[in-house]
Amino acid sequence: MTENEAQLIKRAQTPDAEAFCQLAGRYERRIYSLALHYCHDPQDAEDLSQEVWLKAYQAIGTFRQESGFYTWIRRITINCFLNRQRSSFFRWRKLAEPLTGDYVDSAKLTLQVPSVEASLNNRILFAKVMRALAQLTPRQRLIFLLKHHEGMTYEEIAATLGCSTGTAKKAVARALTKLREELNVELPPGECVPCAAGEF
Amino acid sequence: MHNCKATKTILIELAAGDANQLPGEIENCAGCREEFASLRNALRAADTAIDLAQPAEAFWPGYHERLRQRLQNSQTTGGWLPPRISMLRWFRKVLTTSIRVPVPAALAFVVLLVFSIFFAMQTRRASGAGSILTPPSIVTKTVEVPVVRDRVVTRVVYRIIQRPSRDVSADLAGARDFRQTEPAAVTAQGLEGFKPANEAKVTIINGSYHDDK
Repeated sequence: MTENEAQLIKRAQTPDAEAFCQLAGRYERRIYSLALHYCHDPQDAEDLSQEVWLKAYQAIGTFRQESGFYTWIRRITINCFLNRQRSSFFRWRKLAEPLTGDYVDSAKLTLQVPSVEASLNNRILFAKVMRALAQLTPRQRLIFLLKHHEGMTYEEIAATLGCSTGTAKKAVARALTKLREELNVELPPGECVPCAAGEF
Repeated sequence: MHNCKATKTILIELAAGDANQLPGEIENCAGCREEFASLRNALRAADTAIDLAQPAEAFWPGYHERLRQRLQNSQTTGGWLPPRISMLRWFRKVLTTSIRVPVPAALAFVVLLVFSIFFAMQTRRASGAGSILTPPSIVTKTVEVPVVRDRVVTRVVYRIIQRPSRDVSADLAGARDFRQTEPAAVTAQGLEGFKPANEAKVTIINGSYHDDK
């Protein structure tokens, strides 16, 4: 029998590391995925995501359950991203390096597709999307991820990052432009994602 | 009149948003409809690629175990603490730290700073000018100043000027003849008419300068 989230949070606030681990187990994949697409480096993503959980564990006593736990942990995640970006900017220079298809292998990622052919196509698609996102600044990439990966509204993004909604919209528009430039390739008909701009 | 270029930015916002229906003006334009569909497809491709990429299932137990270990370590050490930063890093952090300041507040601060500098300079200049305009007090005082007088000494110096002879060989010959002939002539002239006296007066002085004392 699994405990509900509120009980786990109360236990974690005692503090109980085991209860917090159970909470982390529910959301660690989403946080790691966000960190991975933000960092473009598996090792950095693991460090960053674990740093997020450690900070959350340190601050779990201040969580008043006025919002959802994931909303709270996402806020910590964004702050961690921004702090990391400010503190060690040298490390982020590699984000500007052009990505190749080898990134998928180096990331030890498995693309969730059944056939080998589809896997190859999706590998190409993934590399192109990552290359397009790598052309953005980390902040623009974060805004794009929050909008389309996390489903946040522009107002929420603006409030979280401390920018205007216009800035958030511009970042998403720039990401879209880069994606259209990079995704100028036709996918197989069976694929549900037509990539070529203007083709149906 | 519909302008496709003008609506491009609107399309991007619409595609990035959650809108499924286009405004009537854009809906009626085939080009804009295609542009909108293209944008939505690019966005869907990105979402798909991001969702598809996940680490292998074998990755997660290790990840969770490492996280559990770090949480337990932080619990034993009394809570997670940030790593200690060295003085150099701290100094660099202080130098590179930036704070958010609203533009009006920053402008007000700059204007205040400029005005304060300007007024400070004006005040200083005014005080400097006042000191110049004050009439100086004149004090008359007699001071003896030693004057160095120069002494003029006139001295007459006589010099014997020997004029060089024009003909050196003639002079030499003349000098040789003079040496040979002159002593005889001098002797002859000096002793001529000399008569020795018959008696000589001799004064003898006894004693010496020691006896005088």
